[in-house]
Amino acid sequence: MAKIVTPFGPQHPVLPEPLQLNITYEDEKVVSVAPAIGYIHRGLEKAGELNDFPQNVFLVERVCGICSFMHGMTYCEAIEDIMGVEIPPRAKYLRVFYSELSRIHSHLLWLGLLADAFGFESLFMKYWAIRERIVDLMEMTGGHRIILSASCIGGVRRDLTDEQISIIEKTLLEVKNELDHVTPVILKDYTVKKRTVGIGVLSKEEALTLGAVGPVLRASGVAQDLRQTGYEAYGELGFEPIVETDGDSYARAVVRAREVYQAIELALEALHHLPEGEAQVKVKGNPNGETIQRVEQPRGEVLWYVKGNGTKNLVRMRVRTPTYAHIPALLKMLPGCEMADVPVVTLSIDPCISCTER
Amino acid sequence: MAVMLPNIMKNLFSRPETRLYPAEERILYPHTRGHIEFDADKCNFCTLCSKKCPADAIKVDRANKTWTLDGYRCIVCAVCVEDCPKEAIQMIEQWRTPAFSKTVEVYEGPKPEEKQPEA
Amino acid sequence: MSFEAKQITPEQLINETQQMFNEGYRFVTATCVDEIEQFRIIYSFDRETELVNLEVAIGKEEQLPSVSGVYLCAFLVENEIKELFGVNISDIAVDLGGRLYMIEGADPHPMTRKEKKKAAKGVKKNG
Repeated sequence: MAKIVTPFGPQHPVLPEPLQLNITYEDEKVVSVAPAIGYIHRGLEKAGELNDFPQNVFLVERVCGICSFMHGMTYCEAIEDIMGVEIPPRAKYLRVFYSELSRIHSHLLWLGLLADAFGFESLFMKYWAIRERIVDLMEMTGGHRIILSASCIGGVRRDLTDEQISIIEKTLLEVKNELDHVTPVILKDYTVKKRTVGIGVLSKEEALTLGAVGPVLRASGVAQDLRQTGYEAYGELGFEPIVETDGDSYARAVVRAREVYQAIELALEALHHLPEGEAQVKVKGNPNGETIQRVEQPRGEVLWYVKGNGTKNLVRMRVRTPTYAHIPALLKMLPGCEMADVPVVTLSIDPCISCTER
Repeated sequence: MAVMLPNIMKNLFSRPETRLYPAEERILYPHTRGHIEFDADKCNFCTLCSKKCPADAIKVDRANKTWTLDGYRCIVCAVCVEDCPKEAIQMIEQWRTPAFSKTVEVYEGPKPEEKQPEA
Repeated sequence: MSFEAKQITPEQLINETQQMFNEGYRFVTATCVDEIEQFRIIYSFDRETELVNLEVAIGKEEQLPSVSGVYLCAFLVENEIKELFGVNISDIAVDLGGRLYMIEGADPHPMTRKEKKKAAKGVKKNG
């Protein structure tokens, strides 16, 4: 049988962003994959060296639309770490709340996209309708639907009022109630299982050696979540990572579907224990030193390296995003699967190419 | 399909999730960051906002007392609103409307000659 | 400043990385910092949320062996460092030949720092 090479992407209905995979097929089976990225490299790391470091908070929020708040938060944590700033406890809980809100919205978006990838459009619309409630909450609290700009160096810019907290609690419980009708479809439906079970399998050993992170790693049976390290207020909230053992696309969907519930619980818990007091401290001076900061984003672990030399401008700012770590794993998942499964497997790592190329 | 059936039945008989947009508009939240509005009378042209602006959207000319906003560069982060010592910049909930061309808003403060006798 | 790194030489790199691999560490990333006289490359590894760093300092013209023979997933980041900084990394498992982000005819190595005088002056003023 002759081999044929077909490009998948950069423009493809399931891909919101340009990733090209040059796939070699034998009959309809994938034999090998060569990735090509570089369509949206914006030079954000270089831009971060040219701007003032407080202005960078808004720059780094635009590394990725979905993990926007978490990028800003991690950058702020890194600067606070270098400058030795201790943020108030209320700010820590608020950061947990905003992080979990981002996680719920990211996972709901992804679950919808997954349903769309195998043509289950009504499920896709159901998920996105629920997500709209979360996005509305983000607008109510942060001021924008996606780019919250809530984090700043020294705490959180947007404090919550008691009235807002009661609306949020009510909405989150309603969202949970609505999810109870939709989640069983992802978990039990015949169509969903037919398209995802046993597709794109990544074993535990492969996941570790290929450097997979986040939900992909947890779906392969490794109980690792950076929230276990207890950054911000996670140490006080009690937290257990969600683990599945099969390592296929279905397991990755299940991990994310279950994490939505966990994130709702954590967000409610954070609001319930919200301490009184200030949410922001004034920070003076310039960062001098270097640090590495890691945070668990919806897609997995993100690593920020920041180095300052005592001036307003940073010497180096680097971010390693989750999708960057997932591309080698994707190259391992694809060979052996059918041509029609390529979109589902590619989507199952939750690709974010803006993040990857920065 | 059987698992989705209750959802489908509910969808058939429930109200649509979307709004009939031009007829029914969405109520904006009080803290929505829509666009900024500038009050030239309050401003003392300290240039703090233009230094802090992450998008370089604000340009302040101290000598000629002009304050220029490139509204289509502005990322509505509200840093200028928070940092303005004279509270000359206000955040308005209403979003900027789409336009055919990019425009720059120029505001002029009181001319230096008029203000000098007071100071 | 919660960040510790074990200083190693470029010759030790492969052996040290192999040891990390054998101990079951996961490769996180490599970070290149341009210190004007030399490059510093920090390799980060993770095992059960514990971060371990190895740091290599090399001159601008020196050759650095690739760790992608040990951790295949390092090929992406090594290509990036080679392309954006111009670090001379040899034998990358999948060498994209400087076409990961850049197009033909672009300025080579855009992340390198050249403004030596300006940076030094800034340090003096504040410190």
